[in-house]
Amino acid sequence: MSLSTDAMDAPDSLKQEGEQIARYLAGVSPPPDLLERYVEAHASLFRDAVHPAERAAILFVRQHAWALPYMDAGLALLRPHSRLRNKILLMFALLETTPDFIDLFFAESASKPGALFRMGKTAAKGLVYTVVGVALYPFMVRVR
Amino acid sequence: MIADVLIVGSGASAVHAACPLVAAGYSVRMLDFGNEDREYAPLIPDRSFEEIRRTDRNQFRYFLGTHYEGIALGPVRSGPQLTPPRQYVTKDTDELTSTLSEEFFPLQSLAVGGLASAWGAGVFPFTEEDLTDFPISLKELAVHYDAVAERIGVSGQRDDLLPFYRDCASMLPPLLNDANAQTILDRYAHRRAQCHAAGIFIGQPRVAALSRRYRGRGPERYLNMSFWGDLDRSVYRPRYTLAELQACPNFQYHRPLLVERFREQPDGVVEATGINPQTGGTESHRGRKLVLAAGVLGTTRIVLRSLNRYGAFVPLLANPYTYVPMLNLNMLGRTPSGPKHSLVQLCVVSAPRRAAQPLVHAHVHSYQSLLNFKLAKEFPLPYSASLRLAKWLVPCLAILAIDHEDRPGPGKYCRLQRGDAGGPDQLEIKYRLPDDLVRQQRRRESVLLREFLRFGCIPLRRIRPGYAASVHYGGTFPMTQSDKELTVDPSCRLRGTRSIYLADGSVFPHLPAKGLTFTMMANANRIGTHLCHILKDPCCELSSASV
Repeated sequence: MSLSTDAMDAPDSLKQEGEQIARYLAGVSPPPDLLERYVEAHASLFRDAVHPAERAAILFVRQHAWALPYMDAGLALLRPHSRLRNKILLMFALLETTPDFIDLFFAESASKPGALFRMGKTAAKGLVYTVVGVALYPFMVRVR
Repeated sequence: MIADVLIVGSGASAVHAACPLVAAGYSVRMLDFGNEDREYAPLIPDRSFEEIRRTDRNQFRYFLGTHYEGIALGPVRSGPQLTPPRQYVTKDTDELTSTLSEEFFPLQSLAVGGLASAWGAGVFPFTEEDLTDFPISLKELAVHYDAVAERIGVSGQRDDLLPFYRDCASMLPPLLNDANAQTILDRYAHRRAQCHAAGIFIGQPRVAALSRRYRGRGPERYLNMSFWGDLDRSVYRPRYTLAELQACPNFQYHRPLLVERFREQPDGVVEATGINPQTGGTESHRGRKLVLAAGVLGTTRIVLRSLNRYGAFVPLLANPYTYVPMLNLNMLGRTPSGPKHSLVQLCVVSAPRRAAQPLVHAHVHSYQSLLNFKLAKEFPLPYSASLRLAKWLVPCLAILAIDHEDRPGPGKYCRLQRGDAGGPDQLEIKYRLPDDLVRQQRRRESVLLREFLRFGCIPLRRIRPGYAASVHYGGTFPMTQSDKELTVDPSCRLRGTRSIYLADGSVFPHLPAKGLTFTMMANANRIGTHLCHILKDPCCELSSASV
């Protein structure tokens, strides 16, 4: 797939991308107004030209939705402030400031071992994704 | 019309320098750029952080900002606590008060109330030891500490930290701790003797926030919204004092004006000249005395430009600062309940057993009124994992913010450079700490962290966010008894001038580890009081060095 930067940032493309990222983070489709905000925020936050490797990463995950968690994980170590990571961070912030998703962000009480287990499990899973993501990253981000 | 006193700035120093003068009946004109938040304050509902998060569909507007400026995409530098509703505090400073540095990224303000419009409200009076390098004694400053404390309202406790903070007659009861801080305080109570033997003392913070209603403000309603707004007017902001001053007929607040320089006339009258940003034209104001309280870097620019000392090196101080997110195991699995506020929860002093070592001052904060995404950004994990981890981590997260003292040194200075092609002058800043000093500071931090480990707090990471991150600057024109150029005398009169006084952190010859804001206010009150004497009896001016 080859897209100009303009086409890449067209509202419909961005909405599709936003939906994909929201599903990755929250497991559900976001409401339309949240996707509107995602598009609106792009105009404010992402004015600079995107680095070709970062552009390649974005295009790859748009085409291969399965790759998003691995790409995110790989970039977390390799390019933590890359465009794709920043797009995911933006969606994180939008979800966090939408009351529908509040349960994703406020902890419920649990036993001490229960809380430790959940934190350990989440961190371990994240580390596995990171290891796989770092290994796959060079294959996923061939400049296209 | 010539004012008795012109004051430049409207921050913590400026308003407290003005108070004694206005009370004594002198005409005071305050010159200020005067940025304000006109956008966010009306949007924020009068509800608690948690309630807003659960119910307000428009919360993204003020939590993220109308231009999404609350989402900082790069690495953290100074001022991560500046949420969108607080960003007016630093507005226009990049263009109008630019600095040139590779390692020092200071926060500056052109706002009504200056940087204290977003301060943490810590009130930490200096002790006699803290004032060792100052040409004034605690006895001279004590009455001004009391005057300022009474004016702003201070809450606190007479506890293990009393020897480090001195007593305060008008002190209100302390704010309530949140559950996170209380668990640490409980563990400290069990290990108190061992902690004291190790030189570690913990207690309630002294804060300029109101546990009871006081002078028409407060009380703290525990809305946990201090990072976002001043809904209950509990936390002190200089604009409250400014409003009181504006009610007096002999006080005049004049804005917008970016004061650039002063000129003393042969008769001692001072002319302050600046640019009106609305018209682009210059304006001049005349006064019998001039007090500069434009913030350390702002004052430095004005002095060096006025004296035509471009290129001259002046020292610069900034408290070295480290923060350490810690996992408080005592909170694991608990949901934070009970009262919550966003200010410092506990204060910690690491007092040296050997007198040669400086005191280290630290604060414990909870992370319960900032958003999780800012925290998750720091994890080297995919965001799906960070999102879930942050949810469990936030209730048990205690942030230990550690401040070290700073003294003048060869690697720390600034100088004013002329702007290119009519552009604004630039303040070039070099700031580097010697490696052995950094190692020594890290050792002191390790002592503190070991003690917190015994309280059940596991340090996750030690973060040094950059040299300017403490937002405590000073020392460019230090007060001293010796008659050196580019210094001030003990009355804070700029050497070589008759009528120019500096009232902000620029006159501090040394920055103890405690925050300087409260002492800066007290010193400004001292300068204002001194000017009252001089204006009443000019003969006092001759002996001003013994103020």
